Amino acid sequence: MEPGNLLNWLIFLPTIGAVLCLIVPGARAVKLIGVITTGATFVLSLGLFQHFAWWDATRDVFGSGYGQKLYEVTKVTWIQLSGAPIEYFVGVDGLSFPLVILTTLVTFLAALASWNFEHWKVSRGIRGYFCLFLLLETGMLGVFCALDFFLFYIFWEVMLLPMYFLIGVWGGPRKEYAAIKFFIYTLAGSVLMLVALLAFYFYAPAGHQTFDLIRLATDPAIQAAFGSALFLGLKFGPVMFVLLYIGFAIKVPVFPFHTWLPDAHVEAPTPISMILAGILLKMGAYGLLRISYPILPDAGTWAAWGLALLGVINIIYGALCAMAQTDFKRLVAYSSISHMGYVLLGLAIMTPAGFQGAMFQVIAHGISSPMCFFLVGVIYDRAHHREINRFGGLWLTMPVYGSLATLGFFASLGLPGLCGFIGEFWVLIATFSAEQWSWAQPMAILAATGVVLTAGYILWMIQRVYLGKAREEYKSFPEATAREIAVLAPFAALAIALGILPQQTLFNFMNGTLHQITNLFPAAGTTALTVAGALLGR
Amino acid sequence: MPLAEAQALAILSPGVYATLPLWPLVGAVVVGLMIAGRAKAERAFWPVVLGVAVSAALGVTLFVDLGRPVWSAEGHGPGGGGAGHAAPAASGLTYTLFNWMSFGADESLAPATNRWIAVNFFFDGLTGIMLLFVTAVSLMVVIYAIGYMRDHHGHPERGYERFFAFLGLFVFAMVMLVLAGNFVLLYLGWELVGLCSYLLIGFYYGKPEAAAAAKKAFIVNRIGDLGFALGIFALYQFLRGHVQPGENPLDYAVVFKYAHALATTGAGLWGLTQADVASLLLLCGAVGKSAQFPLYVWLPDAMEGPTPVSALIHAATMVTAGIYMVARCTPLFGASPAALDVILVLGLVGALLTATMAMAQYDLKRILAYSTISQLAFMFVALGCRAPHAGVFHVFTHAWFKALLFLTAGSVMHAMGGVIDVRKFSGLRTVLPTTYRQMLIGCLALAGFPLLAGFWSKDEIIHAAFERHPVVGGLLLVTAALTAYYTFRMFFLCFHGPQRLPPEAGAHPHDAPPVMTRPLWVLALGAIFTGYLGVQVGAGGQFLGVFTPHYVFHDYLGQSTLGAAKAAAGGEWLMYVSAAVALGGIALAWARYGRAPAEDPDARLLGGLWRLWHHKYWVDELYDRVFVRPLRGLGHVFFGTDRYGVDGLVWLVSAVPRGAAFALSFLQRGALQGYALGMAAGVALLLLIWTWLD
Repeated sequence: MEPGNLLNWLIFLPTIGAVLCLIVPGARAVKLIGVITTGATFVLSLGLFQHFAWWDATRDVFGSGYGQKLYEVTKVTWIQLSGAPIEYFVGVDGLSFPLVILTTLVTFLAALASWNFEHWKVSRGIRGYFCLFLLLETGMLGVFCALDFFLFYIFWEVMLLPMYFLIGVWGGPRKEYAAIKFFIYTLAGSVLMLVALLAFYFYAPAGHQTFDLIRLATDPAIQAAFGSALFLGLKFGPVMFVLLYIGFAIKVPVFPFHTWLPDAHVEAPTPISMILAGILLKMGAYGLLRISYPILPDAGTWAAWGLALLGVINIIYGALCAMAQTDFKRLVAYSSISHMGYVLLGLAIMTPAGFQGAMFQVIAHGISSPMCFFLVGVIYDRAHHREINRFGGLWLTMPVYGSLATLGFFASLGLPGLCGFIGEFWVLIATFSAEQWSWAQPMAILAATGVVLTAGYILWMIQRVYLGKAREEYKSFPEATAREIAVLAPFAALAIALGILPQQTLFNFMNGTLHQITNLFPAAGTTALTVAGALLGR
Repeated sequence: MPLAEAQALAILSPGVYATLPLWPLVGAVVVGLMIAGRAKAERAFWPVVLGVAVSAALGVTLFVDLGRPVWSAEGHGPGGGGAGHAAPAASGLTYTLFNWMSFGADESLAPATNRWIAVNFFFDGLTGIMLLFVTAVSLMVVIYAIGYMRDHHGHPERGYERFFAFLGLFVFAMVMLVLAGNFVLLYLGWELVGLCSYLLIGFYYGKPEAAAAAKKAFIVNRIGDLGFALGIFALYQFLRGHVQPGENPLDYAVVFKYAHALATTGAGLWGLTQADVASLLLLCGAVGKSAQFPLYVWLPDAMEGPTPVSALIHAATMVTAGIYMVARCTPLFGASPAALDVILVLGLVGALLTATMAMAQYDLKRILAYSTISQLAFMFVALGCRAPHAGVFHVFTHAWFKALLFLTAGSVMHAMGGVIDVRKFSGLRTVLPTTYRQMLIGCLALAGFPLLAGFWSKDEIIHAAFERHPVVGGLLLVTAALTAYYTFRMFFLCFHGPQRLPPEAGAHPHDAPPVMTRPLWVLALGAIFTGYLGVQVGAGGQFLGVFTPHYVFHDYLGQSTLGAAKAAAGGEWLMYVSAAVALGGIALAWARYGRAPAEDPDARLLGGLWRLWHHKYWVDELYDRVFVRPLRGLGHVFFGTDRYGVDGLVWLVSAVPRGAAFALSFLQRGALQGYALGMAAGVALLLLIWTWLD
């Protein structure tokens, strides 16, 4: 563990900005504060690169255990309980580092995307918007940096409230409905998480009670106690895993807990959609990787079959639903559901390659989906509607924007050379070759058909929106402005960079930590096979 | 004659050859920057032409360089230097640029031994031949496009720069595909050429048909690629147990090294071996990319793109990628008789089916498109008959004359003001004399006219087919006859008979400018002479006493993963038969269409059969009914389920607390008597429970 202060600044700099937003005079100053704060946070987060070696593929893979390589750690007692303290414990490792960078970047670009706030048809002012926007960033960064379960929970809730208002106040026509749906769904999930949080504390043997996520995963006494305990007459591990899973699954979102997502996306303003798709959805996957799998590996193997199936359902179901959409934004929302299915599938098989693929897909989708949502936003700003069938020939009208749009959607489609391909390919090859699961190959084949469906709905959309004759009513549309290109260009550059140099841009940062997590698992799926066999009736 | 690493590549170092794909990409990027900088379109072709020219120069050098053992070999006899024994499977040179992705370190191995998917290139005889024609034909097409993509006044069309940028990108992708040294990089090139094809078919994206055709091409290819990707997964899965430390499981060299092991291990599925499973899955990709039955439907529609694109991508280079891949994987496919049989059957069905379709079309480019599918199917048959050398030979000759044919068709289209319906014009031989001569050469080569390039390569395939089974050979002969017939039906309809011009052609239609005709002469030379790389001329030959098949081309190709070619034995009479078949087809076409009759005699004669051909057996309509519409319907079913099923359930759950709240709200109407009664009842209930618990 290497102590440091960087993360504290990172997490609370946006809070300072939020306070400033409330006191500076004038709308323009508020906007400036918003952009400068998020920009400064992004620049600050780049300082984390000093701890990670992009050039070294094997560093941290061998020789150290989970939680031993943490950087920028602050660990102080926050609330003293009788058993153990609740700590303010933050730090980054290879798992959280890419997500922190992604968060600061997407938030910064979303702030830039909010620059035309005056043109939104909303009644409420800009001051509250940016204040909540910055608080949201604090919440998100806190979630990714917290290593104390209690602290994690606090930040998880901190993030929830600003989001509720950002959708509910500055959203579209059905904003109240969408916001309350989002809120209640997520709250229901966090209540289940709270139960698990308390159970972890109370079921640990005396003297070992802790909220420390690293110790919960690595302390043999705790692991032994969790392995044998019963919770309301049921095995402790599986019950906790299911509780946590529902909490995280709502966020991802996993079928059948996903119906809040299309509504929230359709109603949310463009920058909020970018954050929602780019970062908030990733918290579910992060939670599974940080909490569920390290602490409850046996339950993970127990549930693997079902989780993989849910992942495959997400992929196919999301893609088919996307195919039926006429609302552009809803289409992108369903495509998010489909793409996050690959993440779930990669996690479910619990191999290093599966985790690598899942995490790569998390980051890749974190780049391509905000880009796609912004692309939708650009034409929404001009046309004030999102009906796919009413568009046509936009590439002729707006050539630069059309080219960037093609790139963004092809990244989402998984074209080799762009970021989406690596994640999908990695998850599929990992699933296909996961020999310990008898069901893995059929699942991989089913999931791979999603690749064709994705091409289907994306190209069909491109054909209807961007190709074809330029329609009269859209001929006056101005080309993408410098600000819009400034938002899109970093996404485009990253989509290419991750596709061409996946090892150097991502894998080398996170492989070590992911490997350490899989090392916590019991020897390859011995118990799991029997459980899966029982479920399959063999 | 294995290509030993020491003797390989002496003229330039592999590192220099590895820059081959880069130059067209640089050209494309420069053009992109010019577009962004709003430079004038007039000179936008220069960066790409230069980039492709550098690549072509490197391609020719590489071809010469890789062939040094062949050029220096003294005295050539049938079977070449490698006669009698097959070359080792992995006889190429793998050159690694950088490691792309790691499968993760394997802890059972020494620390830090990663298994990589590398960015590496593979050089052997097949690479040399593929790169030679890919870069050279591309260069000709790019030069031709300088003139073609302009209007009658010589002004560049809208999107002129974009066109060249895409062409540069395409050459980059195609060269990557050919050079790739492992299956994942091959897949990258594979999908990138698909992307370029998508962009270029949809080049006139203002046209709804072009947009639809582009989408169709990409999606149909993706269906094939799904199998291809699964094939890669299967290979990785099968090979994981075999590879030694330091070997990357998806490199060609490694896969082919263990191909024998795969052929002897069962896959646990319908009695297939692992080699069968991997080959059949990879084959799906080839079927899509090389437009084979049943995934050929995208290629005719791809003719919506500008003609140079049709020539380059949809005739000469990209569509041969599937043939290339199967030939490249000869050690793997050769170990799987099941896969070879499937290839053979698909090839036969495709060749015959699309040849008949070509008989009854009027669109100049579509006739050529169906002939392309038919010729690709010929190559498939060659692969299926264990004669990959013949297949690659036909790929090679076909590239020249098919590019020539498409580009001359483009010249016709250019002169006719964009009209390509052969019913709308005729008798063009005096109007477009140069185009007439060039197209005649192309048609003769395609029809298999003796002594031209297409004759030699096609004959070799027919030969191999007869060795496999007389029925196979017979079917190919029928297809060859049809080919000669429909090719010249098209030719006579365009160029012979009375002179008729469409109004779109303007007052004085004329031949294309030199920038367009000169590259065509180069291609025409190729259409005539490239066959002689594979045919030995000398006294005592099998054909006309002078010509003997099997020459340096086959020796050159022998030093590749294909292994040494075996010379055809016996059957000298076949060459005379196939020559007669070609001449007969041409003669029949002359008899029926030599005067370019206004009314189609075949349509009258064949009636319903002709209509069946004309409507392409209604395959497109069938696919639409069976696949496209049901899938869209399924989308609506799923969305309906989502809307009313899943979300309805959510609504129901949320209705419980709302309903309860509504019901309970009746208890709170402000009447004190009610509250008092409720309180008393509650106290009584509590007391009751308390006594009961005691």
